[in-house]
Amino acid sequence: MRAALELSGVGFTYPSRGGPVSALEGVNLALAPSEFVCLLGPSGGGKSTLLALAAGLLAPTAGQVFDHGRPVRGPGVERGLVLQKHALFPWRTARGNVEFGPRLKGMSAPERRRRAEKLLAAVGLPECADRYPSALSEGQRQRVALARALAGEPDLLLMDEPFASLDALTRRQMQELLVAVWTQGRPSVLFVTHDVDEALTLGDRVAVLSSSPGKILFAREVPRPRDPAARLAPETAALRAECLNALGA
Amino acid sequence: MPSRFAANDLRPSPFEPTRALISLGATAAALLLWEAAARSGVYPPHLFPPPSAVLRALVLDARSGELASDLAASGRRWSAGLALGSLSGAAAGLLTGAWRPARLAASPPLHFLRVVPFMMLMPLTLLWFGIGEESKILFAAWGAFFPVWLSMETAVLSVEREYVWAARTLGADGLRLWWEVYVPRSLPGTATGVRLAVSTSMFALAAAEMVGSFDGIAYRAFYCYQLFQSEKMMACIAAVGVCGYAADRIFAAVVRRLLPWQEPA
Amino acid sequence: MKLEDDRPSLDFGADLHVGILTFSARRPRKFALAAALFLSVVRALAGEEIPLVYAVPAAVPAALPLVAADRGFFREEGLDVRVAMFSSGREALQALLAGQAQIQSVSETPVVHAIVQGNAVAVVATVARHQEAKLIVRKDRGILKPEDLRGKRIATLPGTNSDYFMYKFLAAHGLTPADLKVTNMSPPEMVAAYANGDIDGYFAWEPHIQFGLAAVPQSRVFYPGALYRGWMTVNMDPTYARAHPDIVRKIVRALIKAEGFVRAHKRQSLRLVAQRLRMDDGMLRKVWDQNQYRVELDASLVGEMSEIGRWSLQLSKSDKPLPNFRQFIYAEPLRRERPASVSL
Repeated sequence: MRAALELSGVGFTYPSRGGPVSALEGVNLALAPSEFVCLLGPSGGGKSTLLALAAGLLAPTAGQVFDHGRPVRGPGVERGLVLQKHALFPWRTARGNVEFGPRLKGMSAPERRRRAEKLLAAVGLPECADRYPSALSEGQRQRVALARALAGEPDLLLMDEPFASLDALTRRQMQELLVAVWTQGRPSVLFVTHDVDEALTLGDRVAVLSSSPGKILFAREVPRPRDPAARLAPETAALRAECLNALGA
Repeated sequence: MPSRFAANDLRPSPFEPTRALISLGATAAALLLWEAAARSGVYPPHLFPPPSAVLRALVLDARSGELASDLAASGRRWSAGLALGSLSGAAAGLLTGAWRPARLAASPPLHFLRVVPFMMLMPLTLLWFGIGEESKILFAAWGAFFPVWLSMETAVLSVEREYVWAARTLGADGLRLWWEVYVPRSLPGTATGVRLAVSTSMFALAAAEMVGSFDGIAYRAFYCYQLFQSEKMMACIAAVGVCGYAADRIFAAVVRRLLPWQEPA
Repeated sequence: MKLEDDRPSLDFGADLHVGILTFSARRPRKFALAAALFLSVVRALAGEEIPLVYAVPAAVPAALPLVAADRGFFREEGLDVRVAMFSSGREALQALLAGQAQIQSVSETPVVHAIVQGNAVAVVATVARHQEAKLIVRKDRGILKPEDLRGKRIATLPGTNSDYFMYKFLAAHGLTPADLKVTNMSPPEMVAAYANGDIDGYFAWEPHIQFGLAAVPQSRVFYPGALYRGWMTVNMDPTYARAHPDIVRKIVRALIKAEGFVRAHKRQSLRLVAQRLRMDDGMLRKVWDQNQYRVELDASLVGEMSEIGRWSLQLSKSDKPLPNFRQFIYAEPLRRERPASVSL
């Protein structure tokens, strides 16, 4: 089976005043279709860069990125992106944000309106369609951002610490929503986080990235099922300890 | 909330009786103090006319229609100049902000021209563009151009990478990316520049009206100075102040209507 | 402000100093006495050495004050006079009104405007009758006679005597400013705009008319002739003048000396004035004899001022009464010095 996303020997070096800086080096990572992979790494590591490479927003300086076997040459709607900061366009309403992609693709107004309403209902915000992001709570904004990314019907979701700035309860709700959305549409998900528990809760697999330059230290299957009891199982506890150790905590 | 008092705050503030009372009270007290000082006879009243005399001159001018025609003449030049200067400033700011070669080529000369006081350019304008309406409108446009250009450039340069990334993954590229992200994201910053331009174009127009004109509110003030009519001159100044204040308030209200999405600073 | 009535003269300067000393002293009487003594000693020592600022316009009819300063005639009278030159008489008058000058010269028109609007000015003499105010027009724009001005763009500087000449000139030829496109400018700007073709003509004074002629040879100059004769006045603050009649008299005496010098040494005076005005000698020679440089207070001055005053009131749409201009002329010092020159 062809990987939904494959990074093969990917490196990324950028120039700076003190000479070239290597953010990523020799990264190999593959996501199976419908697989949920959490990428763990210390803050300030190359996690966001890796995500931008996967999205096609940056081009790797070494190695290659493949989307279902085709080399990635630029961004596309089939790879949806959800970011932590500035998740939504503030100059568009919640609906306008969700309709953004379909509108650019030339979808007719009634059709994209129907889709936006469906998606907003799916993320639990049917009544917020006409609000501007400034009138939404942080959690609501992330919900709309998820809906916007889903509007392009992506088969890969790239998420950069989307829930990092939410309070514990909202974060829990968002995680549940994400799992529900994922269970329904079965896209592959590459989810970047620095929270080990979040990674273990959400991911089928966790990959740990080292810092400067970023390299994949290891990638492991997470024991299932995903319920609170499983987290107390000894295998999970061992994996948790291993991850924390790798992150230097 | 300190941001309420920020100069670039274009959001509405709820009407608060205490605040209105303080503002009006302070103005009234200043006027009364001025009236008392002028009436005390310490300063000759023809050099330092009391507000009541200024008001009387204002009413006389308003009744004769002179005030309205002068304000209309200046208003026409001002609005044309503001529109011309703002649009060209915004276009230039978009270009220099978006395209590095344009910024490298155009920024030094533009900054050079920006810091030259426009009074100094007056004789040159006279030589190049003559003394007609065109040169006055051009001068007002000159005053409007720089704040708009600078604010647009700054706004474009500070568009967050996240918005660009999100838009690109949603299928925006090339000109669409500019139209869908850079332009709307830059509008609040540019609006601040245009708000500045509302007054800077008035300054420039006033300089232009001092030379080679026969109507306009700044011309009238200069004319009254020449004829030693202090209270009429002050009436002109008061009229400009009131109109300028109103223009600023109206502009802020229009911006609020046009950009309802502005995030709290 | 009445000047001719007989009030005791007061030195406000001395009063103020005594006042301050009295206020700050513990034993007021003794200190006041000491202060008065001190001041009188200082003033005796200083004599008339307080520097006076004479604000003059850069204009040919101001020749006498320029000559008086240059030849040291003020110094001979024991006065320390410093000449400050302004681009127009209007600006020089502003310096007097703002208290930055004690003496100043300007044509009568701005003085009338100032008095009409309630300013206090004392005219102590005139130093020239002049033909300064002129109109220059471009013949190549089809202006050959006054009637051709209709619809033409003509510049003037409001408030000046050439502005008044415009009013007289147009009225004499059955025109009003509304028949022209009248535009405001300062004389140097007029010359540039005229050379450029932006305006078809302008009302101004020398040397700006000569500059216009040099720039556009296809010009015609209209002289005021019998229509209007300007006066270069000498003005002071009335309170100060009344308090120091002796100083006024010395100023008048220095100006009379200059009058004699100019009559006796025309060439030398001309070169001196040209130098001060940064004018070409030849250019100045053309206009020098259009003026009569005489220290006087002629009876016709009051009538002329009243006529200008009526025009000023009409111009400013003012409801103020026409002042009695005789009250603003302080003739006593000149009458004492040379009675024949005062015919008021």
